Amino acid sequence: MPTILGVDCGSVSIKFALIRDGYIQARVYLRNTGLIPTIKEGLKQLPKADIKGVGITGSGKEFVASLMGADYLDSEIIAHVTATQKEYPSVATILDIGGEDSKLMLIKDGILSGFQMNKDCGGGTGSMIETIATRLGVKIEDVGSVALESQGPANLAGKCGIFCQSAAVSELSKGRPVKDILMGVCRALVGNYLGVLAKGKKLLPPVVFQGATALNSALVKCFEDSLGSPILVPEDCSYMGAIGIALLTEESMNGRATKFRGVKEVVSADYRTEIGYCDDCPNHCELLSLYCDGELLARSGSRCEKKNL
Amino acid sequence: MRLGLPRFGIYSNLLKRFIEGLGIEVIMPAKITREMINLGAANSADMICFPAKYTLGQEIWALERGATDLVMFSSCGICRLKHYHQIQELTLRDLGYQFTMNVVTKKNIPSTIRKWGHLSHFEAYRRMKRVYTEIKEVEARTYRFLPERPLKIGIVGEIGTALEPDINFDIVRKLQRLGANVDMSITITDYLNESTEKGSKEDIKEAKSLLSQELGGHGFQSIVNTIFYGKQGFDGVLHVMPLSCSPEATVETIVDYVAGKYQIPLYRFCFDESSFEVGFTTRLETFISMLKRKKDKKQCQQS
Repeated sequence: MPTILGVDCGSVSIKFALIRDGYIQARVYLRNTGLIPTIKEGLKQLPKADIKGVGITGSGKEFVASLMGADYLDSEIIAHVTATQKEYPSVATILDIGGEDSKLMLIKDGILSGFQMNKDCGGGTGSMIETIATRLGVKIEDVGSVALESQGPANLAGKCGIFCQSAAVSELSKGRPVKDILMGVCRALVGNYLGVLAKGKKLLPPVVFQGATALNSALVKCFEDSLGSPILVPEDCSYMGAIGIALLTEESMNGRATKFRGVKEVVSADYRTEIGYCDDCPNHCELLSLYCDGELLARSGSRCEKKNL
Repeated sequence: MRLGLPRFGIYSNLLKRFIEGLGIEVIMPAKITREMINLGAANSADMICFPAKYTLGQEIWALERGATDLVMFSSCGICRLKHYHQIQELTLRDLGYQFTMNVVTKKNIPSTIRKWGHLSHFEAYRRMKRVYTEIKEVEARTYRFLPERPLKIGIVGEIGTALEPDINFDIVRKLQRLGANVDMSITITDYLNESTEKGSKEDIKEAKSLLSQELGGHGFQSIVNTIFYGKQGFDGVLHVMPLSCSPEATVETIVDYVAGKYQIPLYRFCFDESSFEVGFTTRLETFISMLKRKKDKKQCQQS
């Protein structure tokens, strides 16, 4: 079986996973500091392998696909479900909290039967914990262990991240210990998640919680308390999107030749982007052109698609 | 008279040509642009419904280009649509524009046409009949079912948002491109014929048992049409509404309930000036991808 690369380009981080025969060979997790440098860095860090297929998911999928060449694109929801079902075939509910979005997936008889994503606002996502933890001087990796020591968590409102931070700071000036505040933030986040996404839905066990936030043990405990059922956290919880898209690509390849440009080629190429406007109609679509070594590689953004390449 | 006319989706050009045929110069934007939406939002109350904002933006645009008259539809119903012309007239006068506001309701359409075009009863009727046929043709062309598209999707919700591609990010064409036939539950012909409920008498009775009071707008129709699509075996329902639309927000939970009862997947899109296209497309593509997988699995099990 060939080696397949799955890339999940999220808003906060980019995840890479190498898959062979459905098993994970290697994985890389990088902070998103601009798509082009992060993709190059990720490809450099991956072990040498003969990549026979590339699948891409996440919010930046079209751009990355034109950057490195891809065989399969799909939305992150489908990718997450595929990866989770591989690990837990009987899963019924998947909770996913990412950096700037949150998702809820419901599975019935082995297929996705419903999903919900946060729509109007990013309150109650991972960035909120990170911002408040940074404000309180706690590293994001330590939030779980600190918060779990709390005996009496603070009562905070989690609808708006900034208001939650104000409430957290005022609790701090009252002399509340940091662990209680952090536990309060975790509870507020879980309350907001369940209120916004799970409104009127039955979350049946087995429940799987994933996304990089699932590494936070305090959040897991808050979910367990609210749902009253044990929460499963996969070992590769932050990589589920990348693994899922790699599995889907593996399935769809069927011996086709890959469109991937090759690790060396992508790493050594000089990419440049240019933003322009189309003046053909009053829409004034913003056109994003991607140049590779001075040659126009792709253009996107045209709503009528006439200028897209 | 130079008439500033807001756009109305696929009917825009038809309406423009029809009014120009009455001998009136029409000023209508070719597209509702981001600038018009922002202009309308900046001059409206924060929590007014979104259609009030984007029509106001277009009216300002038309007045800047020399419109002397404006036209706004009034439902005479229960929802806030009936206040649009009053609020917009006051706002625009405060901004210092001089104009006449023409209010069109369902009842005074024929008399307005006669007045504008100086036409006889018979001639007005003849022209209306002709434009009605054209409207029907446009609808049939836009929402035609092609056998190569595997899915059937019904769209329910607020009429302006559902019918205006510049506002709903061209939901119909996007769905068709993704391989779904689209049935629009509320069209202009349905509206004029007072047949906005698609379901049978039983469906209407069931919807009445869930919502006994008049809400205005098309809240009640959203419930009936969801029941209808569920019974007809559609693959999914999309509920579209502008942010802070009172009838649609009221029936939200009831629509969820009937969708659950008839086991039809439902997704809801809320549009306002801060909606962004990428997020919308991601959700739409995921929804369609989910329905396709579901259908494939069902077909596998059957065969």
